[in-house]
Amino acid sequence: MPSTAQTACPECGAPLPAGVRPDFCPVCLLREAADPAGAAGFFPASVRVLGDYELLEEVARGGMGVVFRARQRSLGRQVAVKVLLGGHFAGAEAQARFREEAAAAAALQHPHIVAIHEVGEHEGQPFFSMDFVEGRTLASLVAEQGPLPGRRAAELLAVIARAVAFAHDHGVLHRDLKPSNVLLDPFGQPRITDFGLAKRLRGSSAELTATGQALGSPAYAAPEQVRGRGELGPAADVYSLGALLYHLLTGRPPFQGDTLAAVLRQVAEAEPVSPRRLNPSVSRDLETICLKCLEKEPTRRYPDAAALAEDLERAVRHEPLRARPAGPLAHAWRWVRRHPAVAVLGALLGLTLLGVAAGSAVAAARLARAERTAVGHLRRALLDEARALRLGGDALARQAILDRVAQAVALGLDEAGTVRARREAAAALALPEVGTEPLLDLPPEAPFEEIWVDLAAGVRLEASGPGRLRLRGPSDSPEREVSLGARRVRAIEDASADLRWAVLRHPEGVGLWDLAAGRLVHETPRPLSRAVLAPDGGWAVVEQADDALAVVDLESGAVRLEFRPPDPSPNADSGWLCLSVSPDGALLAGGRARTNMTDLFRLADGRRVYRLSGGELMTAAAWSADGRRLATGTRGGRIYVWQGPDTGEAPWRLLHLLPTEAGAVETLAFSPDGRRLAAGTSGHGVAVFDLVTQRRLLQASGRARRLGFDGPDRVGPLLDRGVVQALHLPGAALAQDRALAPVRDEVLGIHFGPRREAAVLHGYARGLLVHGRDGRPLTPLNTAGTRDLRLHPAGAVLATDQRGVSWWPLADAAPGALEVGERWTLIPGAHLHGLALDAEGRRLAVADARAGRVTLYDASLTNRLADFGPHPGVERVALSPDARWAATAGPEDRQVRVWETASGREVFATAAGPRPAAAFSPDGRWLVVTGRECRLFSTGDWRPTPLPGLADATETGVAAFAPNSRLLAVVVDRHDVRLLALPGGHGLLTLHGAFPARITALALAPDSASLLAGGGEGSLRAWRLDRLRVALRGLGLDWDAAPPAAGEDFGDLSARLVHQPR
Amino acid sequence: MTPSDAEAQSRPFLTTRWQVVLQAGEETAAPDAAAALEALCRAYWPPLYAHVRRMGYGPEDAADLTQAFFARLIENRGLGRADPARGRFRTFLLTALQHFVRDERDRAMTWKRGGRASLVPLDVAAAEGEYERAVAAPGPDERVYDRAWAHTVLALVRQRLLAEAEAGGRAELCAALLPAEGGEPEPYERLGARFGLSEGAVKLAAFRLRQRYRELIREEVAQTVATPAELEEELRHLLAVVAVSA
Repeated sequence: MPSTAQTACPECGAPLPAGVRPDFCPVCLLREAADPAGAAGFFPASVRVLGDYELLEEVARGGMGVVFRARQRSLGRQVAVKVLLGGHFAGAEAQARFREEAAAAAALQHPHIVAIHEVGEHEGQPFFSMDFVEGRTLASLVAEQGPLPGRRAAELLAVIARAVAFAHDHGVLHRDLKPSNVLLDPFGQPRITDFGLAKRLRGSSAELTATGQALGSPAYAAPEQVRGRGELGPAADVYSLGALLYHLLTGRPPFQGDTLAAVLRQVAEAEPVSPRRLNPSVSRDLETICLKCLEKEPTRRYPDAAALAEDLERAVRHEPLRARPAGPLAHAWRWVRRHPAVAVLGALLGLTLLGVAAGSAVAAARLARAERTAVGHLRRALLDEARALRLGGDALARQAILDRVAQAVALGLDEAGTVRARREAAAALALPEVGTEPLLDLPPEAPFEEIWVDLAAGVRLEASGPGRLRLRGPSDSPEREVSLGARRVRAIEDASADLRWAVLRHPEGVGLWDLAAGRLVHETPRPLSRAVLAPDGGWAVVEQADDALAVVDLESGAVRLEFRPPDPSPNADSGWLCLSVSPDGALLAGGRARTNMTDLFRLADGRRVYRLSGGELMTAAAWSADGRRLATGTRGGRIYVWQGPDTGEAPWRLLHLLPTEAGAVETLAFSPDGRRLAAGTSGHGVAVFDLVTQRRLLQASGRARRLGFDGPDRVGPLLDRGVVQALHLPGAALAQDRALAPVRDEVLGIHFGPRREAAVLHGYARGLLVHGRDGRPLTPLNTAGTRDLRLHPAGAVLATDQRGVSWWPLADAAPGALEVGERWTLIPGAHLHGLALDAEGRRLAVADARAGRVTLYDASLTNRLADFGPHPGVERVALSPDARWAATAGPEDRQVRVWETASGREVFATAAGPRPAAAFSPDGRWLVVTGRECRLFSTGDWRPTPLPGLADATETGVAAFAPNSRLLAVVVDRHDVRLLALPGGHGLLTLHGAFPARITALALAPDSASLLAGGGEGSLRAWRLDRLRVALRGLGLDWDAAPPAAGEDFGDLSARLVHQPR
Repeated sequence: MTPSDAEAQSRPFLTTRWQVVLQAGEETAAPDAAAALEALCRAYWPPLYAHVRRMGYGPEDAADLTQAFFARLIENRGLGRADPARGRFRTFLLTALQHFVRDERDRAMTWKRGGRASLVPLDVAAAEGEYERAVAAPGPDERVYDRAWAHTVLALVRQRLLAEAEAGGRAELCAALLPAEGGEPEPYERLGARFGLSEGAVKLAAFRLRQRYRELIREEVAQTVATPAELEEELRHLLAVVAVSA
């Protein structure tokens, strides 16, 4: 448990790099160095006097201030002085309020509250003096010792809650209760510091707010506090007390995340993981108390801190609590809260009946008004709920999201609501459709350890009685039973696909069995030893005493090779926690107790060739089918994916670190295509990750001992409620994600040809052709230094590189495959960058960055028609469909300029910002300019046209027109694509991005059936707009009355994709 | 502000390397400008390497390009156009690199391996790690360069701390307090036992180290700017890079 607490800085909440002590958190150090009042600036080394106080030494430093041990000269006593850094009062009113509060806080005299003596100001820096307490904070206690015993935590928190209640009685809120604000004095008694003070100050600038204040400790703040609206009440402190208790019991705050935003989102929307799941020794009573404090709704928490203290004291005395655990009634209430639609509808129905019964026209009108308001609330609540489910990112939520959207649609939506509903629906529809398939029922008493299912081979092994093993499959072979003599089976550890060999764990030790002959081939008399069969059969690796490993020949039972790591553990009890042989049998990966490293051995000679560090004990390892990647899982629930070298055995590099719930990783498996990784953890079921997007696809409950895929879409087995199951995760029908491996370059341009292929400019040097429907790579364009490329309607690729403009004819090699012919240079030139074609491909514009000029060529693509400029550093060019206008853009002046090609005259220029770009609509009516923001101009008069559909976007990126010029696709907020209707510019739909990287290129297919979005790290997402619209139509959310062109095999797609509203 | 205050704030600015380099661009070249520039480049090439990698070049090409860039910068007065208005070293270097890479693309890859002397020793494996780390860190991907930069600053400071400790005979304790990334920090209590100190003494040492760490961060960053105002700005920028990843 403490391992999860180590990942975030206890002071600022930022994730800590592996191996870095919280004392040296980079964020805190930089913040302190950046603070002008920090050590180097504010206090000169020689004179450390602050009013009546002589500052002796700095004893602590946090996001809000520095604490000094000081001597109060007038009284000659030792005190602590806290100087609040970087903060000053937002105004006279705030200052007066701070003083008022400080005076109230200073009046608090309580044995468990650190008394404040004086509040003052020194050169505009507020400070206060208080008792000096020798001791440590609860934060450092838990960081070092891990979770506290339940009784100790309850006793401590009861005392703290009593002190908080005392302060509340005196009208003072704390507002920032957290483990680092509670000191333990030398007698182990808690003393609360910082009462009501720190949070009253505003930062001096927006930047400070972002880095200093918001990074405080959102993990302990109440949802109403995080939202920052309205006055806070004692309930906010009750929440923080609950968060504090949670931390004491589990070693971590209730909500954690990689980013601040993730934490804030969880505080506002997510339910905390039950403390008992993180620490099974927590009593039910304490869990009930803790979760009651952490209720999102303030009125559902303890009414005050005193009531909390009372229940904690009851828990210590083992008396019945006032708080009730979530029983059936509470569950029903939670259900109502989570499904407000149904519940409120029921209530409305009741009201309506009442109205009819009353028979009064006035009452009826009032009821109608109330109903309208209620329905409005309900719609919003439903869409909020759909959004929250989407943010959870779990494929299992797909149907739940669609249900909410369907209910909201049934209540009638306005335009804004429709756009929101479409977004949620589209995001849900893009998730894979997950299902489970029962494989077999187990009698309740049957232990899972005694069953072995190999999904891919279609075989099963079961311990059928003492000393007996039943073999089933493959499908056409009869069921057999094997006698194991006197040996009982404790667990089936491994078996070959043909069920010839098995590794069985017996009370006596671990045995290698020849199941065909019913013969024990080899036995290690150590019941805890690990053993694993080689994938190609014939031999196994078996753990021996003192960390030694033996390669055992299965036919003969002879030990071929015995080896041990260079640093064996002296203690015979410790040993290997996981072993995994690479698919080619060349390497063995293993994790040991007592070391946080995974060792890689060469199996030919037993030499250790590499070590992978993980910061925690490695409990599971698995190889990808090609043997190039290795996944390792830790006891704390972390999963690392490593990439091997192109040749040789080392070095290995870390490719991904995947987030999981806490709980030891017990098994890992790659899908055969290497795209997905399944992980079974103790207590947290099975998680499946998409390694392309690095997202978790789903989290299923159940238990998995050894997972395997039998195709890209099916993984198992897992045991859930007595049923052994396989999980199905077919690819999403609506969106496909690709990673343009092996390099992780940004996608800089996407351009469709006349058919279904698209040319992609990937990084500054690579081009490739992809399928325009699903984005799968078709063929690479092997040229060094590609700068821009287009598909010519005559069936060729036009590309610029350092030699000039080249022409590559394309040919259909076979259905679905493209062949690239010989390339020849059409227009030589070393500095040519951007190029553009008109609608028919009869005009070609080429930009020369060095000369700062653009040349227009005719249908032969070699005769010069015109030449215009200058536009210094021009790198991109666009042509109107009739080639009348050319728009140029370059990073030097960050402008977009428009030229009349016939006269070479510059007719329009506008500042565009970094990465300037422009495009003409296919009907020639519009010019879209992107860079800092997306703007639309009408051609000819070059007047800007408002785009109301972007009004709520905080940031816009690249844009692309649909071929019929009736849609404009724009990247909003970096990761999403918004479709706007033209003319008018109203929002229709937001496509939620899947990649962590920013979208940098967009294109719509000629038939508008698909949209390709490319981004950083070589990511490419293909959306099937045609299918999406059919699905949206099923939900009543499509935007045109006319049905979308059904280009192909839709069949009953709508019925399949969309669960119809009830 | 007291006199010593003002002194504390302006002290680093008498000798910042970046100032020396900027002055070299003017007619009266400072004699040690080349050395100052080389020292800066030696320290700050991992972020440049990371940026070139992100532009789409493979590790070897990126190392070559970075090497060639420094060679150009140091050899042939790549700073002829340097003027104080150009701002901080970090932003200057990025802009210069972008120009350089574009020009080199035009030059049809003349920087390909061989023929050019290595002026700045590049540890490609380490830089590759830096790149991977910067790419993997949360936050917008166009900040790879800045993230790598911030991390390089912290790494340089850590090296200086270790060097100072070495000089003071406390190298082992310092190394144990600041384990290399990916290492495993030993609890203070155990450290105390190992070094024959009380836990309190170890904590005090950590506390002092932390104070020195902060000072050195300011000093290190000061080397890359020309004015006190820029130093504060640059520090805040680096903080925003490492802290705000949402």
